[in-house]
Amino acid sequence: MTILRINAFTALLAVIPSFGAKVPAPTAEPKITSIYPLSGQAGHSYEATVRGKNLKDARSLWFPASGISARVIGVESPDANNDLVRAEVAVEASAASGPHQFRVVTPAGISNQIELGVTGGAPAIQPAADTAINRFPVSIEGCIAKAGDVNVFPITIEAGQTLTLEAHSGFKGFDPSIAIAEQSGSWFDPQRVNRIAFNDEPLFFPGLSNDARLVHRFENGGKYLVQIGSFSGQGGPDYVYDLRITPGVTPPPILHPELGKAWEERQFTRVMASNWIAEVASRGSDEKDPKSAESFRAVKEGSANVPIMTPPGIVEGRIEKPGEAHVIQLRLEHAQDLVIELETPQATMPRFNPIVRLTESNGNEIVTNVYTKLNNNGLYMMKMIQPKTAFTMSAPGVYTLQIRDITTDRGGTDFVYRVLVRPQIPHVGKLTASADHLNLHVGETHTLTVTLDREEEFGGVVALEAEGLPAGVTAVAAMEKPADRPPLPNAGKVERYIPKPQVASLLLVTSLDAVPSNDPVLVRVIVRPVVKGKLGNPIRVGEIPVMVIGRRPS
Amino acid sequence: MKSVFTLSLLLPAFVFAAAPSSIRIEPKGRTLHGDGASQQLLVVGGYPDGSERDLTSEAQWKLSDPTLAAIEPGGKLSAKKDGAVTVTAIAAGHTATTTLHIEDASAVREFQFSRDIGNIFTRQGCNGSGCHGGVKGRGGFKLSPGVLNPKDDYEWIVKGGGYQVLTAEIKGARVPRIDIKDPAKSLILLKASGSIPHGGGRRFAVGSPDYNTILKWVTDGAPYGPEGTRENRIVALDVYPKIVTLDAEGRQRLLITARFADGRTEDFSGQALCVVNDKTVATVANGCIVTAGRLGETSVLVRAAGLAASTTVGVIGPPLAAYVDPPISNFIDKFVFDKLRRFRTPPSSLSSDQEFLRRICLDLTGTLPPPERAREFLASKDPAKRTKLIDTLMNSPEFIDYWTYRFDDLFRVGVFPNGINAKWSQMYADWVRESIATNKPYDQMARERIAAQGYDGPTRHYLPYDVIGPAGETMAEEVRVFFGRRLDCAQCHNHPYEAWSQDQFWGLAAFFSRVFKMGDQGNEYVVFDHPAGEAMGNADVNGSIKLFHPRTKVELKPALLDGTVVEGSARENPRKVLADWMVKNPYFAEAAVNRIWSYMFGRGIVDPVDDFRSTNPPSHPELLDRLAAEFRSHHHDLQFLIKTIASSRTYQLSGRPLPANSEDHTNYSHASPRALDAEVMLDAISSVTGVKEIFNTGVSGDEKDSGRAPAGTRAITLRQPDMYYSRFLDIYGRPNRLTLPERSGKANLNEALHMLAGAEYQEKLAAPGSRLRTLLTQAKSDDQVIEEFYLAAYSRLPGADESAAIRKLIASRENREEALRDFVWAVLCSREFSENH
Repeated sequence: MTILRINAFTALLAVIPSFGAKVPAPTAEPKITSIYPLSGQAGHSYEATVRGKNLKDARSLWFPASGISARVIGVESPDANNDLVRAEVAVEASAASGPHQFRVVTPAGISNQIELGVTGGAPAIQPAADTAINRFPVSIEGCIAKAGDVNVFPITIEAGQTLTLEAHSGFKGFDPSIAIAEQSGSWFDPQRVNRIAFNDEPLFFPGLSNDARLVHRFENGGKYLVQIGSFSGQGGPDYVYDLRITPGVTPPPILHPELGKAWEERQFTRVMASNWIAEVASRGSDEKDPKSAESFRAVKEGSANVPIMTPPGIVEGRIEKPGEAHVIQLRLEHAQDLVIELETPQATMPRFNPIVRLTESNGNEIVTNVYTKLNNNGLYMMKMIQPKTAFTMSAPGVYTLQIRDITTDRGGTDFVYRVLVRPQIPHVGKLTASADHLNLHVGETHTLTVTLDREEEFGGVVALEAEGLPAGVTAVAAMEKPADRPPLPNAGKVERYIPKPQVASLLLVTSLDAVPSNDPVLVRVIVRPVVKGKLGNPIRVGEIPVMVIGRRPS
Repeated sequence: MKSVFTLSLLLPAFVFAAAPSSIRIEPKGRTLHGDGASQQLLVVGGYPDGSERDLTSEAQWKLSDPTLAAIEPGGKLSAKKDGAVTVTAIAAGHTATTTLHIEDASAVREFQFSRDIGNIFTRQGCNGSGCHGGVKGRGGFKLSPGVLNPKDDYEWIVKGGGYQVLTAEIKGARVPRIDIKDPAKSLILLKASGSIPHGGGRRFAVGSPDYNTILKWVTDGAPYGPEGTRENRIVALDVYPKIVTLDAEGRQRLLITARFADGRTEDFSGQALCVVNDKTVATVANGCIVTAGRLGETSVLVRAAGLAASTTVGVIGPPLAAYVDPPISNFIDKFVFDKLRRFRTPPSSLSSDQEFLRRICLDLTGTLPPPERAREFLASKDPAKRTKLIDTLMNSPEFIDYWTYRFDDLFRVGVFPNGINAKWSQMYADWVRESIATNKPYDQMARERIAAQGYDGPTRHYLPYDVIGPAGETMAEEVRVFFGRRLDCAQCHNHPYEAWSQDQFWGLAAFFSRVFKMGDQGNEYVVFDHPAGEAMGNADVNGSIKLFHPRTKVELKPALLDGTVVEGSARENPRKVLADWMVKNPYFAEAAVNRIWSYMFGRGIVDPVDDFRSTNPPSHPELLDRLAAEFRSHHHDLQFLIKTIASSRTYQLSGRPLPANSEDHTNYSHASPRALDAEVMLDAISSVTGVKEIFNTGVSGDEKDSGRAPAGTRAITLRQPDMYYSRFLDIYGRPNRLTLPERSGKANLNEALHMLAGAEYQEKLAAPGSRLRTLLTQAKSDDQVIEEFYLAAYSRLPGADESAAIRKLIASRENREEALRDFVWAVLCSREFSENH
């Protein structure tokens, strides 16, 4: 009987092929992975293909910045997992050189964000394999189509010429490498291609780009081969890149982790400008006019006369020679809560790894920027240097501040440090939103979570707002179940080094009569700390593109 | 070896050396110090064939001034008073003289427990590793091996107690081994003299000199005496001769000399324990007199004063009638051929051009020469073509590829050994490659690796998996790599067979005890040395960076092998001091040259290459010393060393043995065949078949799931080989580099099965674009195909009989292509292909 029933239902489906077609099928969020060519030349238009998923009926490419526009020509679906959006991209002559973010807009909402490059004056080309390139600068658009592929571009060079080659990846999982080779052969193989220079990236380290950069001076003129490969040998249609070859030496990359637009006070490379303390205070402190830091210089350890500083003060110097340590005395008139902040404006981790120690006159260490904890077994110590350390000094006196590199074998003119010692200022620290775009279904709710770092024992109330919501969308306060975080075992004095995070949520409610958007709108998320009973100045969390999309089928 | 010598005995054309042509006295010009000083003298007879024999027992002695010294018939000279005495020996109708100087003959020598009592235990074998010198002693009584720790020995004898592995505390009842009130009832005398049951049997008789010495010591109250001063410490034992050759029933007394830190020497011939490794070849008795047994080669281990030394003993047949000295290319040949001559083993002839071509290409580049290059070389009449080829190969990019691979192996480049991070492994691999490509001096490479700090390539080897390895293990690896010695046993207890003590182990380990990594997110580790006196947050977790001796629980300080404690400043990198000391230590150069030698010959002068020890003596000690000296004087230049070895006639000898040297496997009388390394073998198969290997990071080989090495990547040039799956490489012994690689080269059943079914032996044979397909497409004849594959695989042309046999086989088959495929398969499966010979 059951079988009969199933058969009857199947038959019914067969005779009504458009069953369910009048109600849009549930559509997953659009996701884009790459665009090819990755870069275009300013002042030119060209056809590009965006790869991704759930891109059917894509309407447009959305560029938040000016200078680039795109028109969708068509959408293809070569297989169930991939959609291709063909678009005519127009790059205005005034478009800024460098990466431009974009998203794809579809009836199912707005996609994630990827980059498209603008090459400025360099022509963006896709050369034939056997055509030697002899004019520079040039921007070559390529793709490692298959695992194990190495793209080879012949170049012709004059003796003594220097080139800078930079391979920029257009896909998150693609780590490009550059090699320069020559077909100089060997006794075994006259056709052997011999590598003469190679780069995978200037420095592999968390927070730094994996893009490759190679500067090479060609002693002999003639024909060479530029090889582009992928570090682990992967490949595929998303493995797109832009290879820029520039005559001479372009400015070397600054090997600092990229700082976003958001407030950042726990990176060695954030800039502590002269108004730094005021900036900190402006984030929810009730201190209107904090004292700015006085400048000091430390001396080499062992020097006869060690200068004295008082907080707030900033010590600046450089560890030029390996093993060198600098010292300065810190005078405190009374017990107080202090912060030591460290900036490395030039060389930074992992090259320059600055250690700051505050010691008593007998050499006992009171505090250091080395956060030490035990591993989960409680067996091994694990150490991390920190750019900020908050602590309490319980007695007045004169203490010694020591600054050096964690190694004994490293030093250099670029081992520059700036150490700020200041009183603690309770304030709102880093703010992080849980989403970088939102697609809101009609009649549904969506939770937007913001994480706030309470710095230096900040205990004030903070208001959370979303401005510029689309019509039909309202934001109300929400409470979520707090995360069950087990206490950290063997965590040492974590409170000195890690701020206390707090999470708050907004519930975005999309009414049943909300009209689906054609284009995204930018919603501004802010917090306002309450200072002395009044709502303080807004502090930006971020701008999030939001779209209202059709009702999800029941 | 046995059959060679047996065969030699049967050969009719021997000439027996009848009488010596000269004699001499050994040692020469010695100075004797102190009361009771003595010197054993030897009379060495030189024979026309270059051989030498010990004639001491038949010599007659005369002294220029008998008031200065006395001499026994056996050649032992005892000092009486200060002066210079000339000794004359007469033997076999010849006369020899030498002059000895006697100083401070009236100075009374202070009693020292270690020398006067401890050495009796050594000489009598009481403190050997098989007896009371074992880890926990024997029968409740423990002695340190070879009086390594005289204070412990004294404590255990005088107060009783024994050794505990994990604590220095004495446990259980303490039974003194001496009886001060009744010295003759001392256990140590009763047991050793067999007066009461003793598991070790009787070691000396009641009333013997050793018995009396101990009895007197106990009677005197069993003093310890003064500690030996630093200058007074014995630093080495020398054995003469370094190589002993004995005719059947020949005898040789060994001369054992102790060298002190202040440069003095002292005859220890009567104070040492001599043990022969193979008692069928030789026996040793009566104060280190070696007596020949059967024909063959063995070694005699000599122990005294906590040190050990050894000498090689060869029992040889009568001289060959026509021993032709081969030409010598460089100093290597002199040492090798001298020993062969002494051992009456003729070297094979110079290798043929085809043997040389294939061998040198594989040894210098891991690459088979292509057929056209083989033809060219074989046809060349240039007398300097071998030298030119060596230069060409050493300047080739393949040389850099191959030696990078060699050192990648030794230095353990891989994802898992280097922090489980392919990028770090790449950083480390780049450092190795750069070092090889620029011919960086080897001592500089060692310094950079041992003392590495920061975030550079060589620091990554301090991060096995993703942690800093234990100090002891890390040290033991550095010592094994750069000193060729294994200290691991001494981690838990004094080394049972060697002079390495637990204190030495942990003293060296302490250099690595402060190595730390910074970071905990898995991929930002900076390596540094934690300052000794700074907390740097340790107090926050009640942590400590101190390293304690596992037994004595004493905090350890970095100490060199000689006990020198390195008291650097708190923030000094102690590994810099260690690295500097290591590269200047004689062990460093000898270990390096031995390793490179083993790469070129398939076995080291000391073999295994990282197992230098007194019980594993070098086959050619003087050659090893000279190679090490040349290496040092050429600023640790690896290319110089490789070229020197490759240019020697020894290296270029044929692999075809002679009847009289076919059983020689240690003296380099002919080239020994060696299995190709897995990686070289796979590359060779790809080269012969003309089908390149594809290396995928995933097992499936599906490019969607995995990465793939660039097309044409050879196995020896794989970056991070542990990232690439290869059944072939695993079967043929690719090491995982999680520990120091040891390639056995021994065939196994899996290899045999793989030959039958493996893709490399099947699919590559006639794949599109393969060498065979190309030849067939070009309509080449059977002879042409056969010749091409012989040149590609063996670097030689086929013999007429080989060609004829193969042609016949092909003709007997209906399908020519199939027959040729089988022929190629047979070539790849042959030993001539899979070995370097």
